[in-house]
Amino acid sequence: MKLVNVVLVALLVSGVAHAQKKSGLLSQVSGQGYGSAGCGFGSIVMGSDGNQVLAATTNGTSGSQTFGISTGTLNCQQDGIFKSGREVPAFIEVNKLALANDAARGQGETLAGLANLMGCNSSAFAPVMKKNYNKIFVETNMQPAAIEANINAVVAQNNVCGA
Amino acid sequence: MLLSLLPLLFVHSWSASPIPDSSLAAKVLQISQAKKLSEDRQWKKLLHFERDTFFVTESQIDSPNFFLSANGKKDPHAELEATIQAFFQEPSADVNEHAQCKFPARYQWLKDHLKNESIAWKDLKCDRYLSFAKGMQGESVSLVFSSYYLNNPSSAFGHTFLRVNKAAGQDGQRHELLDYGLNYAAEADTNNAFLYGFKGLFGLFPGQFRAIPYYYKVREYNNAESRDLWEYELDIKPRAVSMLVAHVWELGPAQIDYWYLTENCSYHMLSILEAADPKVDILAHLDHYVIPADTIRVLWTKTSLIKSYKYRPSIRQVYFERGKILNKEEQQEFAELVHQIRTQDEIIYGKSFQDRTPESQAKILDAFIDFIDFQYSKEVQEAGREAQLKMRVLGKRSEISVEPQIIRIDPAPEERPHLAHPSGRWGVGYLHDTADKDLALLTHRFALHDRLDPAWGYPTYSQITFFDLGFSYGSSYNNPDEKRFELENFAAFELVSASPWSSLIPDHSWRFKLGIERTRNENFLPTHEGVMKLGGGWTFDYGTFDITAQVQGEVHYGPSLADNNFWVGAGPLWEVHYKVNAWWLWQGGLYYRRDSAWNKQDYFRSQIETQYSFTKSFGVRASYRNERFLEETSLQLFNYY
Repeated sequence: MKLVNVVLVALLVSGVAHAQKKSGLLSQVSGQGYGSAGCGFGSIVMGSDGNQVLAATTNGTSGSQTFGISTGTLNCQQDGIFKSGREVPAFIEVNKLALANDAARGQGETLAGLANLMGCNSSAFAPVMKKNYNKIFVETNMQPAAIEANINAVVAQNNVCGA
Repeated sequence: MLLSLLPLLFVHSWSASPIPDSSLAAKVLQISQAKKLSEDRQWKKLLHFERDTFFVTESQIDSPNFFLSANGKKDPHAELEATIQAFFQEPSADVNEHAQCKFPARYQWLKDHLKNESIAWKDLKCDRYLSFAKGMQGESVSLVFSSYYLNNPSSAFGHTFLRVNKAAGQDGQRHELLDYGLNYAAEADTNNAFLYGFKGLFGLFPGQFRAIPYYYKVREYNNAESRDLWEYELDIKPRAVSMLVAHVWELGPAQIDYWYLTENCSYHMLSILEAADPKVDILAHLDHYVIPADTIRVLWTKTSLIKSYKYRPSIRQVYFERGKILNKEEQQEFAELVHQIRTQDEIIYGKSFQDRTPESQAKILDAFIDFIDFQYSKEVQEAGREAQLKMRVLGKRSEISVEPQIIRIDPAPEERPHLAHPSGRWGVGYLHDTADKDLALLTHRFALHDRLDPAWGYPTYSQITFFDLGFSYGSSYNNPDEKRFELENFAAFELVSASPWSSLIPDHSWRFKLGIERTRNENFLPTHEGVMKLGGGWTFDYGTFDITAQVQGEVHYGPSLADNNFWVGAGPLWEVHYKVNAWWLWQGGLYYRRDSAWNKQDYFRSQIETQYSFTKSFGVRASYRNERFLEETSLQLFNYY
C-alpha cells in the first residue's frame, strides 16, 4: 500500500512539474491560457481536413501566440509548406524583433535569411536596411504587411534586389 | 438488407481493380513474396513495428488510416500485400488520395527493392506531396537538442527534434533559419496539471508529427525561453533525407499515443530516422526510459552518426557575453541606460555617452538592446512602453556605422550535453548514526543531476532530481534484535536552482522538494512524513565556489511524530558549493528552522558532503550530518547508468 502511495505522489508531482513547463512562458508572454486552439500559427497551417498537416507545436512549451502571429499573414498550403511568395511575410512576422535588431546593427543571421528569401544580395541589402531603419520600422506595433511594404519600397529605391 | 448491398459491393470491387494493372500488381506481389520483402527490417520500421513492454510486436501507430490492410497493425505481411494492391489501383478523381501519394516512402522502398526486376512502374504525379517535398528540400539532417533554462529546471529533460538542412542559398551561404524542423509532440488537451501528468505518463495524449520553420523554433527556444540549442549534424545521406521527408509525410495524418517517459519526442525522432535509413540502429540500445538528454549522449558515445555539432546560444547568453566585453566606463554608461529605461519615458544620451567613440557607443547600445529583449521580452512582444523605447534605441544604433561585434560562445567541455554523465543513478553505502546504528544504504534515482554528481553535461548551478528513492537495512530502533528494510528518503521531485546573482542578470536562487522523509524524534522513534519544502534567496558566484543564502519553509505531514499530524517550520539556510574540478566537488550547509510542532527545541542542521568521481559512471560520496536528535556519517558508492 505504501508503494501505491509513493507512486501516486510521484505521478502528481511529475504532472505538476510538467504542467509548469507547459504554461510558463505562454501565459507570461501572451497573457492567454494554454491550449487556446484556434488562433495563431497552428490553426492557420492546419488544413480544414486536418490531413497530412504540419502545424507548429512544441514539446509543450509555448504556442504560436508567443509570436503574435495574426491570421491571414501566414498563408500556408494545407500541408504546412508556405505557398510560394508567402514565405516573406511569415518570416517577417515571426522574426520581427530579431529583424529590427539586425537592421539597426546592419548585420545578422535574420537579415541575411530575409535577403536570401527575397532574392537579394545580402551584402548590399544589409547596409540599405540599416540606413533606412527609421523608414522601415516606424511604429512599435506594426503589422508584418506594413513592414514588408516599407522594406519593398526601400529596396526598390535602392535597387538592391535585382528585379 | 444484405441483398440490397450486394450490387454496391460488386460495383466497388469492380471499379477498384481495373484489368490493366492487376497483372502488374500480381507480378510485384509474387516477386515480393519470393523475396520475403515483408520481413525486411526497413519495411517493419516504416510500419513502426516494435516490441512493447509486454513482448508483443506490433505497430506503434494507433490510427487505422495508417494501414491499408484491416490487420495491418499486427501483420506486416498482410499490410505489404494490401499496399502493393493499392499502389496499382486506378487513381480516383483526386490523385492525392491514392496510396502512392499517401505512402511515398513505402512506394520508394518497394521500388528500391525491386529495381533489378523489369517492372513497368506507373508513377503518379502527387502534387500535394511533391510541393511538400520541394519545400523541405533537404541535403542533410541535424538532431537539435533544446537544453535547460537555468531558472526553469523543469525544462531539464530537454527536447529534441530534427532539422532538415537545405542546400546553400543563391549567395552561396547556408541559412539555417530557412530550414524546416520535424517535430513530434503531444497534442495536449488539458490545462489541469494532474491530468496532464497522468495522461502524459500513461500515453493518453495523441502525439503528432509536424513540420515547422526552423526560425520559429529558434525564436521560441533561444529568444522567448532563453534555452540554448545544440545542433548535431548527422551522417545521413541525401537519399535517406528524402526518404525521411517522405516518411514524415506518411505520418502526417497518423496518430501515436504519446508516452512522456518512453515513446516521446526523442524516441520518435530516432524511430523515423531508423525508418528512413537502414544503417541507423539505436532504439534497441536505449533504456526503457528515453530521456532526451540521454539520447544525445548515447548517439555520441555509442554510434558514429554525429558528424559535427554547433551551439546556438540563447538571448540570455548572448546578452551576458555582450555585457562582459564592456569595460568599466562602458559598464557605467550601460547602467545609466538601464536606469533610464526603468524610470523614465525617454532615453537621453548624456554628454559622456556622446563623447565616446562610435565603437564604444555601438558596444554599449548592442548590450543594451539585448538587455531589453532579455529582461522585457513580454513587454517588447506586446509592443508596450519598453518596446517604444527600444525602437528609439534601435534608431540611434542605426545611425552609428559600426558593425556589431560577433559574439562567439564556446561552452566549456563539461557543459556540452553530449558529454553528460548518464542520468540514472544507483548507490550502495554504509551509514553510522548517534544511536550507534550501522545501516546498509541502497539508493536509486531515476534522473537527472545533483550538484555533487560529476559536473558533465548538466547546468552547474542546478539540481534536478526526479524519483529518488533511498532505503536502509539494519536493526530496528524499536527492537534491536529485528532487522528491517526501511524507506529513508523519497524525492518525487527536487529542484535547486542556484542561479548566481550578478548586476547583469540579477537572478534569484530557489529550491523545491516534494517527497517523503524518515525523521527521528527525541526518543529515536523514526517515522515517515510527507514533506514539501520551498526556499528562495540569492547565490553569489566567486569562480570555483559559490555561496547561497535563502529562507526555506517546510510543511510536514506524518502520523505519529507530534500531537498534530501536520506541522510547519521555516528558517534561514546557507550553503557553500566548492568545485575543485569537474570530478571532485564539495558542499557544506547550515540550516536553522523554527517549528510549529517543537516548542522545546529549535531545529539546527549542519552538513558537509563531498563526492569524488573516478569516471562519469562511478563516484564515491562521503557525508556528515548533524541535526536535532541525530548525528550521522555515511559513505556511498554511486553508479551512473
